[in-house]
Amino acid sequence: MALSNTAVASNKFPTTALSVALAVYALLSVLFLLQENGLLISPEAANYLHEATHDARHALGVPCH
Amino acid sequence: MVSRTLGRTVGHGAVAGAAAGGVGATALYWLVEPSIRAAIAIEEAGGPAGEAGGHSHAAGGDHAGSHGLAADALVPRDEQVVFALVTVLLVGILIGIAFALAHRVLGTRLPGKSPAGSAMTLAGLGFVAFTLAPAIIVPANPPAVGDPATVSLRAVTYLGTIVCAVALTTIVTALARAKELAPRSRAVAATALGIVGSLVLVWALPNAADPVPANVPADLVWEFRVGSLTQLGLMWLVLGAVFAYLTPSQVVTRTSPPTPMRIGRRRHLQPASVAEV
Repeated sequence: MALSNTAVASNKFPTTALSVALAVYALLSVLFLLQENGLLISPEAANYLHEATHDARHALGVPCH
Repeated sequence: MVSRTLGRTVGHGAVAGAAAGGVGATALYWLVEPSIRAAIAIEEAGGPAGEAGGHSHAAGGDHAGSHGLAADALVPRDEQVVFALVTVLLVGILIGIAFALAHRVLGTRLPGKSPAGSAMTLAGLGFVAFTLAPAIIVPANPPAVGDPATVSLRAVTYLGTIVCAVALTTIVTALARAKELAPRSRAVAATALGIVGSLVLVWALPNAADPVPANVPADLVWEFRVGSLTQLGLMWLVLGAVFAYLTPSQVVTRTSPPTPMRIGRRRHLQPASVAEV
């Protein structure tokens, strides 16, 4: 974080942290959507999600079965 | 003020991602679905890969070989295609948001003379790190290819490849812009590191790709992979282009023209010496 003055830094640091957190959250959501195997939701729901996203997973190049 | 600006960044990313997702869904429907359909037909005909592992494509009730009927009927085939388009759209939006935030956080550290230019650069780097690298290490496969026993290794390799590729891409880009080196040395060093780093990754990452079973034609796998890469390439291109179009190329201040002290919101227009000290 190359910030040189406090006027900028005081505005920027929380935003930066929030931005990074949101970006990570968005990427984790993608992972959840495409790779959820029953870790966070019930196995039945995970199975349904797995089958529903099946073609997209293959097309996006994410490993499947 | 800050949160609204962040919100606008997220909004632009979501719109650009939705556009990319829409184009990606169209590409999936026209370019990839025919291969998936053909592959599922092969799988249902009773290929060894399809029957071995207890995985269903829910392609109808006639797939009674390895699975209970309940699992087969879980998502009918036509719904599966609709869900696929929705999923691509959702993934596009989420990636778009992450893309916009990365663009915002990285700011002038990205190559490119304007926010639009750096957006296109970031999309190109994203394609290399998130699509091309895993496509080389663990190529995309149509449904009839793939051994359920190796899916964990392939998933971990896939994610590990992306992490390593992001790291390598970051280091190469940083080296290409290192102020400490003479411009010519930078180019040579970045190119050399890119080549050596790629070779090391190809050598070091596990060879997790499954063999293609004998009953799956090579043409089918080829068409699927080309279709998949085309879809993903289009998605990155549209994501970068739409985001570049939406991103303001000038600082818009309400009261006064930008001065170095006042334009912290938009790092792009700061002189390099201010932004990177």
